[in-house]
Amino acid sequence: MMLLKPPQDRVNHFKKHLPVPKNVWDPLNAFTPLRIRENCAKLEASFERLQNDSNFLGKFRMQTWLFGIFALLAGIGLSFLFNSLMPGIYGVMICIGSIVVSIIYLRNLSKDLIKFGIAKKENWVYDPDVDTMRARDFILKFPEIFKKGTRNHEVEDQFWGTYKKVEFHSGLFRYVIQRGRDSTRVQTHYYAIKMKSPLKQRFHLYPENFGSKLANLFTKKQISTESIAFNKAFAFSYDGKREEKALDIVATLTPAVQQQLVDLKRKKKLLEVLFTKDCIIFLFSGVLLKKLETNLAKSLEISKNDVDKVRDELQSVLDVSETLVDILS
Amino acid sequence: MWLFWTILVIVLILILIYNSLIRTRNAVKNSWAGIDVQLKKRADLIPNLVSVVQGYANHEKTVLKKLTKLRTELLAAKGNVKKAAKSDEELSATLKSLFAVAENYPNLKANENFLALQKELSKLETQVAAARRIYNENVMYYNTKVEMFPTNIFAKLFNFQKELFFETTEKDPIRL
Repeated sequence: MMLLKPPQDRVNHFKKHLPVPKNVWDPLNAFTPLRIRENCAKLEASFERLQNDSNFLGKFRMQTWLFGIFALLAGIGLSFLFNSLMPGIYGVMICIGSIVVSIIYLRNLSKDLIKFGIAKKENWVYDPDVDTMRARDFILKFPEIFKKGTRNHEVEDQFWGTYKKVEFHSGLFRYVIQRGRDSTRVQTHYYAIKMKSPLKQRFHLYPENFGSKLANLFTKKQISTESIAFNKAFAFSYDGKREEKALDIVATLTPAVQQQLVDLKRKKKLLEVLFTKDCIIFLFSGVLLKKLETNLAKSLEISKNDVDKVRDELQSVLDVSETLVDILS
Repeated sequence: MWLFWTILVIVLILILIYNSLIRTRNAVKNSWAGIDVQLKKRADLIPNLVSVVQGYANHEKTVLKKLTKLRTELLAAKGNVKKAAKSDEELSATLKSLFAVAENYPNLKANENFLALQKELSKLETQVAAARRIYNENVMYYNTKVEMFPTNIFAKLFNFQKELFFETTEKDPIRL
């Protein structure tokens, strides 16, 4: 796997040339510009190596395949030697694993390059790295929306920037749900939007379903707005009593805000919305880009369609966010 | 015994249907109140706007008079969907023409009060448009219930009437 690491001298070279991001709004107040610059430099160096060394991909593929075949042969040999099936099964698993690693590496590199390209063009900051510390901080600061799953919480592909005068931060949030011996990996993506003027109440909207309806019968937290569509789409959760909070919450959820949220839910798989004093956080199901057209193994060209898809995804939410910030300021 | 259970289930279903009709009709009324609040908020800003504009553009008396007249009509149209929709549309159009006329008066355009009112009215225009959409969606939901089987039987039985849509030619908020 040493082969996957870009050469350190090139990383240092890019580090020197990349600017240190400044004045960036972060919902956690834990922005680490030097670390992000280092990660971006690694990404640039990885792509440069692909561009300059035409044999790199061939060598990389050959190595992973050879390793896989060696593991397979060794497993079969050991199976015969010890008269047991297990070494053979391990051999097959390692063989498949090594091929999967090479595919995932190229896929992730393509995704990172697409997003990094967009960030550069829009003057945003992008961090391709996986970050477990920030995932933990998100869970601590915004438990209503991020306290999910049982283990392996991580944040990746984070953007920071300004879109039409609205400061935002977005990223992927992943976790694993463990139920007995079964585990499910869940991928979501979030957007945090900075408010221009503070909101009075912190409250959380999540999808209305039979369970939430039943829960609300006991907690009596449901607030009815004038929109049937909104009431059918969202359930409420907040600290404190309904009588104390309802007025402020309804004041925030003006007709225009309700309509924007209902429209967003109709367009995308909007899971939850959290209104806090100084920001709104949206959580969506899935990742920003599922099917990639870019195939670095075939060509080093980044597909324009991939770039457009990611940009459209980002802008569709940011446009709504801009309207919401405008309405609520 | 089975007859008792069958009757009980039927009665429960009928209660649920009746309650859902009531709930939906109340939601329509509630969303109408939502429009009313936004329209009233906007109407309340008109006298301030008229007095600010009068100071700078006394020649635009016709527009200002029309604005005042429409405001009165809008406030008088309480509960009358057709009248309110007509007055609202005309008021929005008149406001738009007033802000267009203001372009000819640089002093007015630079007036802080005027700018603040313009911003506030623009925001309210967005709210009115959204409230209108919510109301129309609710009405559509309610009217569908009133017309669809088996709720239409109850609707006829208990005199649930179809509600009118808040119809305007403008689908999106007018940009002021």
